[in-house]
Amino acid sequence: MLWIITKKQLLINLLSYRFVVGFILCQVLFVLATLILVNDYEERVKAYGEAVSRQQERIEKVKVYSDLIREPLTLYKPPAKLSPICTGFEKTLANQASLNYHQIPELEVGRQEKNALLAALGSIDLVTVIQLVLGLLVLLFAHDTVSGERERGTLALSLSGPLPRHKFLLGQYLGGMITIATVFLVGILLALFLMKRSSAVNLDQADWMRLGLIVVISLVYLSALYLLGITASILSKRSTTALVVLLFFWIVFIVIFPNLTSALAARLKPVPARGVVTERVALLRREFWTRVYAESSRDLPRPEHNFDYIEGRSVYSGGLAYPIRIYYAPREIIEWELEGLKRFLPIEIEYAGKIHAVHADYERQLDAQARLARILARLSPAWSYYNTASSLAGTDAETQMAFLDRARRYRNQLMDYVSSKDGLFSYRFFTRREPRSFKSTPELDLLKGQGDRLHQEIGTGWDSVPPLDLRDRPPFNHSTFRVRDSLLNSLPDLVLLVFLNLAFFLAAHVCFLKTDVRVGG
Amino acid sequence: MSLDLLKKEILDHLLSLRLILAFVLIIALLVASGVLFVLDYKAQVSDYNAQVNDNLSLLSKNLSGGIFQAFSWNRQNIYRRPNPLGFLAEGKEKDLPNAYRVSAFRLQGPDYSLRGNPLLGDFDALDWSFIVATVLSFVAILLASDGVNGEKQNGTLRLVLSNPVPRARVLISKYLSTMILLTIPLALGGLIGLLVISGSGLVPLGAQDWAKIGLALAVSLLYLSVFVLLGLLLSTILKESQASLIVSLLVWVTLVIVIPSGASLTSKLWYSLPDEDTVARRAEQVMEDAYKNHDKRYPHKDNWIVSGQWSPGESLAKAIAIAEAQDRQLFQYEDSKVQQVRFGQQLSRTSPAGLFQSAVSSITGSGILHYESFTRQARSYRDELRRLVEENYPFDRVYPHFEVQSQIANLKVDYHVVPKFEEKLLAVREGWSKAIWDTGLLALLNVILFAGTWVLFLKYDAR
Repeated sequence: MLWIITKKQLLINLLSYRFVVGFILCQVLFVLATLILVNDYEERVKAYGEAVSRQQERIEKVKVYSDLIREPLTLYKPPAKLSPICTGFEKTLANQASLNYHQIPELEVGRQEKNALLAALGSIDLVTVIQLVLGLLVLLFAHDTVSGERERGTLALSLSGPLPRHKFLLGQYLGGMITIATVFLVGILLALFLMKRSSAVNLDQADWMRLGLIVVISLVYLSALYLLGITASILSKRSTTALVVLLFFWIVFIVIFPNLTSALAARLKPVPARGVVTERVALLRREFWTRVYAESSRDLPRPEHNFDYIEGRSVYSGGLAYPIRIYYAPREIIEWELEGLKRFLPIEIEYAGKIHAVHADYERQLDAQARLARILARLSPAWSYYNTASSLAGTDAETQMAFLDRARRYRNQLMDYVSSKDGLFSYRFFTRREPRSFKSTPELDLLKGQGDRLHQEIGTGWDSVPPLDLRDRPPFNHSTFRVRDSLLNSLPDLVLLVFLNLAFFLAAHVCFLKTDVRVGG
Repeated sequence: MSLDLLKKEILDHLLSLRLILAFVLIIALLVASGVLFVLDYKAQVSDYNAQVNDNLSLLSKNLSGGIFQAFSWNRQNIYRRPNPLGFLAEGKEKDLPNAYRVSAFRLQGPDYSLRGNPLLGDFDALDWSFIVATVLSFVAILLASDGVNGEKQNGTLRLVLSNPVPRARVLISKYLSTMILLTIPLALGGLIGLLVISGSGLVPLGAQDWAKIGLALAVSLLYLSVFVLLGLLLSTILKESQASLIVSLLVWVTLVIVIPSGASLTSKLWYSLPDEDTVARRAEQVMEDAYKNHDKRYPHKDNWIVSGQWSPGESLAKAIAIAEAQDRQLFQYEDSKVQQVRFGQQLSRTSPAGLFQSAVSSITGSGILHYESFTRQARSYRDELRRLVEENYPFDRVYPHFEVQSQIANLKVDYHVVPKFEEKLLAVREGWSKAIWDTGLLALLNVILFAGTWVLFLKYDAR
């Protein structure tokens, strides 16, 4: 009996106008969206590969340790494989992190794309299509499941036999859900087919599992909406009334809800302007340099410089003992620079910590605001669904921030590595030769008269120096992102979605038991 | 007779559930957006003032150290002004850069100093253009989509047409009644919102602003009219009111939600940018060439001394030549970023929602347009500073003068002589001249849809 009702509902749906129009529209949207999303993903994979190899090239040219940890070293997050399905924060939050001894990776504003101005335009992914368009389609299917039958008089007819009401309801539900699932699954299969054709997309077992879970969650979401639609349909006398109520629910809770909640969260938990952070950081940097210059001019007298004896030297300023790179200089200059380095480098590293504390404090405030927005967003099943899907796709805020945390830990590892090579507070930071092997100015003065001897002593410059062997440096570990963690992260949203299904089913059931099945009843 | 028809149409809708819900929702949203804007704008203005004042005190401190401190070694921070018409169209300005660091030789940035939170996700602000573009157009299509076939199903259409009224008049009264019903909550909610905004005293609205508000309202009505006509057209084509409702909703979701949100992805598809490293390398190359060219043309024994920034004794002309070479590269790259966004906007103009959003943001001068005009002003401010330095440099500009280095290092400029950066917002006429195309296209769309509906309605079988 249940099957008959299901089949009846299925046939009604499949033969209806809305199914034909909805099916075609959804498939067209899925195909078009997937095509441009996959293309975008390919672009991002390519850009990532290029960036990583540029970085690698740079590291292969490192000649002293300051090259490695003074220049910003950038870590890149590979594009999430499921980001075409659900883009989430993939393009808006930390997908690269720059670090060096005076800079700890921070959360940056602005889109993490080549063109940050693209923030002015909207963006879309497959989950958004499901959330909005399929969400609308479900409500269009559900709004007359009961009220329509009542209007046509078939409801009284169906229930005049020995059919329990709950079976009728279940049949209606199953018939509708099978219709929706057809539209959805055909769409997602088309999308997957198009994704698989691209050579850039390589899904492994874990990715397929995530994908499977996203499909299940999508069905759970659509089912919750369908049950809500049935409830509205039972409660309203006319199908049009149910439709109007459902459409207003859709526009408020699904379309404009995130705009509303983020505006509200920004109001309820305001954060100071980022300019304040920039200002405080600039102040700390100025404070640091004032301290260095003051100390340097007080008790680090600059030895006499004869520029004929200096080769391949990069400095902040001529009068300051804070070396960057020196190929050759008289011994007393090397010693003077080394003394400055030993004094100032620890201070600068300390200031990096102070600056990070300012950023971290700001980040905590941003995070608190975002958490509030996320809690508010749970009032809408559509955003519980989106958050769960992006968590599964590995594009949620947590995963992006976890990358930043790993980059911060990596900075410590790299500093430890350089320190273990004695490359931090020693001459190795800025030169390749021991200070004792450099000659002093009087010795060089003597060489000056002896033809080519001075030239031989000084050498030809950095070009002749082989790069450092850094192959034993700690590797940066990319993936710590497991399906279990994603599920745990989105547990409240997940529970909420399942709970909504049960609640709406119960509501529909109770209302249906009491409903008057007669025409106009 | 016409008035009777109009009255009947309005009364038909007036007590319907969808109209009541629509009224409540639209008015509530418009008022809420006004209140949120006032709170937001207050914070924005106080941030802006604080940042501008910080910069001025930094400038006067640097000026006491001489022109090198003020215009070469240090930078000023300049900021985009908050848009007092942000409640009409915020244009995602929160997520766009709003600051530059500028010296006489360089323009660095763009930077962000606003309250935007990257952890929140990028959603449109709840402004007038968003509410009109999504909520009101939704209501418009909802009201109109059973205008013709609904009455046929009720049997009232035959009754109306049996009277001696031309069909055109029936159609026009249907159209006008829906437009009137849409205008009421828009005007009412907008008015309360404006009262909240102007009553707060925080947002000074001048004659220019009222003109912009009026234009935005006119474009809004033109946009809504597209959806009313689309609804009527579909309701004339399709027999059942159910069918036309469903088709119009699906058309609406495609036009208003899907097409505009595809813009950023498709713009990248057709308009690609070189990567930043390549551009930086090219800029370095060009700078080096400029440097070498200068030395070749004006040989001097001290040409080799270069600090990387213009410092006492170094040739001013050379510093300027290098800066200009770099600017050409970097500005071109920054401009191509704006072009990419523009291209995306062009694509989203295939939908009336894209046309509308771009018209309103042109009128209010917000979004990418505001960013662009700010960038232009920042660049010309950099030129002004450069001219100031040139005017206050009493030595020959072409050759280095290390022999009088200490004398040069002491050059000073008075604080009052230095022009201060203050961003000017777009004037009505500028914005309107940009919006005219979008508005024209919207009007054309109206005409086409109206003609189509009219032709079909004349031949309509009312039985």
